[in-house]
Amino acid sequence: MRTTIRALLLGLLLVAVVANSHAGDFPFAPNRTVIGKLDDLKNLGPGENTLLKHLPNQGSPKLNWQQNSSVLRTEMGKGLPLRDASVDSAGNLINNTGFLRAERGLLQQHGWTYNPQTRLWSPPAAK
Amino acid sequence: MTAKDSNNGRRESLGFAEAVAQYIAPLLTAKGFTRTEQTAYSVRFQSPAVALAVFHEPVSYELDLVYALQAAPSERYNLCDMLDTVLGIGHKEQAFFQASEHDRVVYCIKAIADYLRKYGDKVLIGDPTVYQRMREVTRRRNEAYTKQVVQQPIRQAAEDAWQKHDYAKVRDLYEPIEDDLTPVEKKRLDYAKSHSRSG
Repeated sequence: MRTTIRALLLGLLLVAVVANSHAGDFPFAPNRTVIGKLDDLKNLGPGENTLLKHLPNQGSPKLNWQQNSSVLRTEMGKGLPLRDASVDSAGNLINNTGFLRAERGLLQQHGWTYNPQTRLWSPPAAK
Repeated sequence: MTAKDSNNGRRESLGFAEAVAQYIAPLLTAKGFTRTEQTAYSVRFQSPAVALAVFHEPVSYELDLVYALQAAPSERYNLCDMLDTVLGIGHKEQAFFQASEHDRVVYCIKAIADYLRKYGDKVLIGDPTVYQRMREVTRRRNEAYTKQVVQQPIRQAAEDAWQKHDYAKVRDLYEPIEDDLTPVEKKRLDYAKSHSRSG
């Protein structure tokens, strides 16, 4: 009886975790970094972060991109998947202009792959 | 918004909000919009049918429009979407603007205002037919781009396998994307299939 109750509680806990993982229509993960257009970075899931705090304005797009690409490379070096927030409801990539386009290009150049189902960019080794 | 200028005054000296007020606001006012918010980075307007914001992004200095029907606020579109819908994908109009100097900001805002004047009439009045078409055009465009991004590493891996005469791997990589292969890739797949039957 006790085992049955324990199994039932475990089952409920799993349901709760899975439900939470779909709360923002993307998989939940603690300390996940999210890229995207600024307007798309306003609705982050629990435990998600952007790189914006590492990007103080340097005064020009050129200097800002140097800084941005350097920060993104550092983040890529951690080898953890990144969520793309500039997507449509099917996970297709949208707003492919400017810095976001360059960020996606940088990820692709380094062998990162995008999965529309998860909305995640994953490093080569994690494919 | 967490990215702040070390010198807010410098950002305001670029004259973004003033340029929007001078060149874009009159067009919107004539269509029943009122201004609802203004910062050094964005100016927002609303009409009964449409919400529209003009952005000057703090980090990238990109300038763009974002707008949506009031009835469907999550379906947001930008300047590029409007031009792709009205002119067709592959048009030659410039849809990307970036400016960190006052004169350039004014030039870009004038250009965006010109586009709105020439192509944005139905977008601004919230014509449902135009929004329906925009939904379809952008969906197809975004799907095609995403497919290209997803398939590029597969194509590259297949190319590498082809160079190494690893035909079983070529077959395994190409088969799931067979419908999207180029004629050359299709020929390679056929060749790989006939040379890797046991695999």
